[in-house]
Amino acid sequence: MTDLLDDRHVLDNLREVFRADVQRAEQDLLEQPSPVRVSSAGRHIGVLVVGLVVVGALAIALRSPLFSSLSSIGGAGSSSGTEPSGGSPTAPASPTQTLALIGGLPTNLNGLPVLRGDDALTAFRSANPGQELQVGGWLSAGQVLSCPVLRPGEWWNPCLAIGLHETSANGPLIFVYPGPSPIPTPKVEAGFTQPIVFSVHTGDASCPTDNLDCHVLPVIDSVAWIGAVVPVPTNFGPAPSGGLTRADAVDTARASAKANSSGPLTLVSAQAGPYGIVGPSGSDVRADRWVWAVFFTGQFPAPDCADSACLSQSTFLVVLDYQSGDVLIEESPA
Amino acid sequence: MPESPAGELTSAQAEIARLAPELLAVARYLVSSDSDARDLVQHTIEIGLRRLGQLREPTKIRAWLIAIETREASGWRRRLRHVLSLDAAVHEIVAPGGSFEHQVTVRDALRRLPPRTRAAVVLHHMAGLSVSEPAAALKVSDNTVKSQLRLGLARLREDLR
Repeated sequence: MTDLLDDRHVLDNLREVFRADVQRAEQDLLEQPSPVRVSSAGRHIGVLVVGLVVVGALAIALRSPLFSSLSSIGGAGSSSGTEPSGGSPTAPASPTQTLALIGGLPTNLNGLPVLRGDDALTAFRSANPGQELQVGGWLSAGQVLSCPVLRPGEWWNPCLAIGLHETSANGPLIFVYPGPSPIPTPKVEAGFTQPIVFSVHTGDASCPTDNLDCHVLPVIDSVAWIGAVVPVPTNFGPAPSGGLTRADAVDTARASAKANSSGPLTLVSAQAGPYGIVGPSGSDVRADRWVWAVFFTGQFPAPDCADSACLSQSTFLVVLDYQSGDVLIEESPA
Repeated sequence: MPESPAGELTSAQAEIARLAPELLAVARYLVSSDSDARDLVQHTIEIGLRRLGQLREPTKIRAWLIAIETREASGWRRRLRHVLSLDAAVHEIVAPGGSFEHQVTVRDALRRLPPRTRAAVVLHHMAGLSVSEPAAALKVSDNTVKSQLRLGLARLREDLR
């Protein structure tokens, strides 16, 4: 390595390595377009939340014939929802039908239950290939998904999945797949949400035989019901009783922050409220869960910092469960 | 998505897609595991798409995205710690072409740099951003970045001797 003794040689080597890094990344993205592990969707739901709420519009620009018709249905629906007619799965269809709604979603449609959340995940795993199922949830912005690099035909790539929140206030997500023959699905603007029920099947015939994960993925056959687009709720009612006092929350959060900082901490604010109002975006904490969000300033290390050399003045956020005080999120800079 | 003329939007989206490999190459120096790096790229692209309307100089989309990625990397690990299990292993990057041994030596030397110094070196000397661009992304002054670059090069010189 004697040729690396001056800066110019070091710089040349860095550029050469970076060119190789980019080539390698190109290759990796072609070989493994998805960063998300599909093998245990339930266990990795957090991964899905973070890794999949992505690139919605890229589908649009790059490959998806699906997108051209997305916006046309974005505002469809009525206060009680509509059931699209049989011929076209997304036509704004039949007259409004009165349905029993729980949490804004019908419980039954066409004689079949509307599955949600964990019940739906369980049903996907145990259903017979091709069996019709119905799954409901709430769409939100950025959840018509795709990846920048996808091999044609790989509809099971999780980056193409559509996320359905458990409630109108976000919360846990489950995912359904447009499948080999995508149909138009609604696009929801930021700050809005829309209840929807998809008719789906698992065990799609186009799944590769050696891809066992693919066989339990729910593939969209049609939009069975669609409700009105509504704003994501921001009024979550009063705080639950028996929560942490402000002093307790600050003490708990300070202990958490201290573990990440060797210097003095300055409390900036401590705010109690629904996570959707006081918490940072990008997590799967339900928007209506009451939390304490406590901000500090101090000397905090950069991520992956192995020693104190990289401490710097920064902010630190600790989000605690309002009642139990469990640390839900630590983030720096906040 | 921001409201823009359809053609412009498509072009910007395509450009973002084209930059994904470079974002991944940079991300692998900013976070410690390959799966984190891929997640970070996805997250960066998502933010990029949502904020496309705020991009005032389309010619700077590359630097803009790398800056977003760098800022996001800062808050990345702590946020994920409570959401998912991170892979413990750091995958060695086997790059095609050139001298593999030589490249591994350089990468190892880079990984031994303090994170912020490494970020400055990667962003400026490898990804080709100006000094002020990593400074803005890392929320430090230009002079701090220059110091980190000097320190980084000195450390690399010693390490690679």
